[in-house]
Amino acid sequence: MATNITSTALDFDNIKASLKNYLKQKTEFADYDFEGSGISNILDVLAYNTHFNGLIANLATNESFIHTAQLRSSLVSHAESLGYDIRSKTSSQVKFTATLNLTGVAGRAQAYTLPIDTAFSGSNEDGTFNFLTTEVYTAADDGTGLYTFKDINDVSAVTGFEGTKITKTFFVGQKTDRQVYIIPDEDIDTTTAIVRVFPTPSSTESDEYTPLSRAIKVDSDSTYYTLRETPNGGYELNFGDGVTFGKAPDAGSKIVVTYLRTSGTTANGCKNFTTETSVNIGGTVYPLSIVPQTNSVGGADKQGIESIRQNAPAAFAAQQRLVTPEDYKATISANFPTISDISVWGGQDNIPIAYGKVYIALDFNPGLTEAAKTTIKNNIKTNFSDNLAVMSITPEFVNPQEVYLELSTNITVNPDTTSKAPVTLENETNQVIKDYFDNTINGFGKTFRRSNLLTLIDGLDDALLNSRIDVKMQVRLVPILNQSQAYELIFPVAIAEPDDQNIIIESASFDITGINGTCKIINKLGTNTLRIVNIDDNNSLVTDNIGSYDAIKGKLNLTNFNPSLIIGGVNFIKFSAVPQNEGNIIALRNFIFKNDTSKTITTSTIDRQGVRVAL
Amino acid sequence: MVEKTLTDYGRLDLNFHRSMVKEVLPEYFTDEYPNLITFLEGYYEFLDSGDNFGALIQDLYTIRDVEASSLTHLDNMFKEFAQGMSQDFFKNPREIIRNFARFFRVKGSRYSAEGFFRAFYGENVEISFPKNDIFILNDSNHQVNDEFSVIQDGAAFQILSIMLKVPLSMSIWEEQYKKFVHPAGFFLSNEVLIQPKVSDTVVSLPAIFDSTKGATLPVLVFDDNAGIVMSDTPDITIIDNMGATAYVMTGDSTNMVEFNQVDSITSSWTANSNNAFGLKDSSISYTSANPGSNRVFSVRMDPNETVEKYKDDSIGVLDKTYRSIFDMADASSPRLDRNPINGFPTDIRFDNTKETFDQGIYDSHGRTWNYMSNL
Repeated sequence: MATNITSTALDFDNIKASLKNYLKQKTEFADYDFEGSGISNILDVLAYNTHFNGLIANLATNESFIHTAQLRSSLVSHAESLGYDIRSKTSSQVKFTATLNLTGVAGRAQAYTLPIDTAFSGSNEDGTFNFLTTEVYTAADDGTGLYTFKDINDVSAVTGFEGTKITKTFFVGQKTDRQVYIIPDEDIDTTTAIVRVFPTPSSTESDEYTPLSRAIKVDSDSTYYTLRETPNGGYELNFGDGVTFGKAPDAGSKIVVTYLRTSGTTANGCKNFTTETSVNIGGTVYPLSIVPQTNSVGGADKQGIESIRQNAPAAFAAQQRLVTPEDYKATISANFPTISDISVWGGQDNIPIAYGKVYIALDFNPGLTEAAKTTIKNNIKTNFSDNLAVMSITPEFVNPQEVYLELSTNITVNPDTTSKAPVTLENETNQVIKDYFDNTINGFGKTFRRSNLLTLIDGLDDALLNSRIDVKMQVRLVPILNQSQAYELIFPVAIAEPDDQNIIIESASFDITGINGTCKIINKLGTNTLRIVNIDDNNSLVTDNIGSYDAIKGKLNLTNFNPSLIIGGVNFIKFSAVPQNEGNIIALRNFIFKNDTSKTITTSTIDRQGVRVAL
Repeated sequence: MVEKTLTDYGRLDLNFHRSMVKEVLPEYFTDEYPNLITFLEGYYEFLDSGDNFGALIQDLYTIRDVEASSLTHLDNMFKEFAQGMSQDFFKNPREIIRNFARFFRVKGSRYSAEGFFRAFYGENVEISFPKNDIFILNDSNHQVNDEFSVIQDGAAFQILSIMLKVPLSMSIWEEQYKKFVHPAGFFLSNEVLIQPKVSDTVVSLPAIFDSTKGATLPVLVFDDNAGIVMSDTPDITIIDNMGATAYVMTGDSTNMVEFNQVDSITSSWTANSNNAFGLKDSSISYTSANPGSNRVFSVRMDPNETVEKYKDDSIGVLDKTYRSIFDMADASSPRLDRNPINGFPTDIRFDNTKETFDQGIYDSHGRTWNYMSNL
């Protein structure tokens, strides 16, 4: 993130020149020779001093604000002052179906328990990783000797968390000193930390402390802790002082902290799992059978500084509540690192309108399985929206909907100013368009602005004299073949009104039973009516009215549409539409822009104005 | 946004910045190398000049001080605490930024909506819940023909709906409101509240006196100090503050005023009697349709016509030109006017400059002495 505080030019030569000019203007030094060696040396020293102090001043100013800070420690500090919990590394997780087959084994127990810290190992292309359970699972005899392990909610899934279990022990000093316990480990998954305080070093009884972020009520006996990142990347453990946020461990107490040291994202995608866990009955070992329900997912590295910069102010605005769409975005973004982009809108803005609902579209990181996505959605609902949202407002998850843009670009090239072939410039223009899609309008809520793209294209090469882009939107329909159906297709913005010259709606080609030739759907010139025409028979009419389009609402309705085959070996039919405003297309709600490269074409025109003598 | 930082916070000045060149250098430098001292002092002046960082260093003392920080730095604080808003947006950014946390904590509430419009736009908002007006069967609060009961319409009038009455177009505030206050999932509807602006310039108004309404209370009065004041209820404060000769009279069934309509071709006239209220002379009282010696109105004030003449004049100019609002309302072409007591023409009044000889003047009372042709 570039700083936006530019209080001084920090270039040494500029500083020296400015200093010289300033002094020359003073009458006392009007006749001085500033190029003389003595005074020039003094000016050098002063300019360096200025340069150095300017650098420090600029740095200090930048680090004072979360928006401009460059150091992670500064951002962490600012974020904490906003009440934002910075995400530590997160363990990758995997769910197993774990069974014990003791069929026909005499002396088997009625039930078996899988304890905390049961170990599994899994591997991916980056190596082998350890996974541990963090809760107890039990399995009962189903009558045949088959035991399936279940969690406390009776779900047949055992969850393993990647990491190595680490234990740190501290002894509490005098209360008069502020007690801070440093854990010099950058790889903690703080969500797995368990903090226990034993009254004496030899005690076996302990109090378990919980994170302050989960506090509902705080009094002098509350047992809360905070685990926050330190400037060197490690963590420090803090307790209350008996007043501010709960009880302080007494002098002489023993504090035991256990946590998982995790590999973060590196452990995602593990699929080959084994375990050495087994049951010994009468000297015979019966192994635990595990079948992973998914590959390991959800591992994440420490929250990056740009993510902190973006999410901490948003979380401050949310104040642990889900009221506005911005609150939903901030809360989900802060808690689910595997979600790369989020769009949220109220039911009042949905099509169709649905009051009392909030719509959430999530774009997940690549590689996440459908089961893992469902788990995350359930977590959002049960852990956040059910607890923090306005009562009676329910969340609805919708999938991102891709809207493709077809760009017909023409560039005018001045052959006198470049040695590049026109086709080279065409390819470079296509690359600019690709970069624009990848970097500028990739994600929810983006707006395609034709003039911005044209500016980028015009700046590509001095030989480009001007450029022009015709824009079409495209959505894709996956029809049921050989079955007459009604379909509704929605575009993100209004469609152009029909006119007598241009076709506004046009589909890709498909076959219809009984028609000798390939067909497509177009709108009847000058009307909103959609019709099927035979491409191979000079666009002769096949069906006069297969539906219509609503220009204002950006909606296509097809009735009794019954294709028998889609041309091109795909399972979808492309529907292209001319937008009402080609210069400005916004992807509202769950729309995401994609570039249909097969229909994005750049052509070039050689400018011959200089040599042309006649029209 | 104009820099409005106050300089006196009742605090000690943290900035001890001053040139220490002479103090730092050995004393003999002052005698033997005065130019070097001047040179170094010039250097420190340079540091504090223009865009150099001297000011930036001094800013560091108060960089996170909401009251003392520069607006540039305040903008950075806004980005931190106010979801990217700029301080430019607010009339009093330093006070606003202090309250953002409080504001966020109550978002979605009536309090936050009211606070939003006050802080962001300097306007008051009237909030209502249309669900209270929905006609519900077997609900004693809602009766058939009750003007405040409406059938649920799936938009503004349904359970999850909030109605805001704001004197601003919705397009101005909708995006920000949804971002900062509005609970997602609720319908947001608005009514624009149009209210008169009190100004020291008299503007053209379509209706000043609604004499046809038969109202018993004044709806609009002139006030020497406040200008034109609109009121649904008689406000004794307004009346008390009015000029010495400008009063409001409530119209009732006994205060009948005849406004004659004159046919310019036949010179015949028709008298229309209406309940009315208007200006009256403080020294007399109104008694009947025939004023007799207790004349109240000499000229009916046509709202459009009268105000149009004065719309570009300030209250100050009007005050200089006319002795009272009564005179202004009574302004007429130079003519033989009637005696203010007995109504007979007695003298010539040239106390106005706005009217011409050829305009039609219609009196508000009587028949024989009010019509100009009879003068």
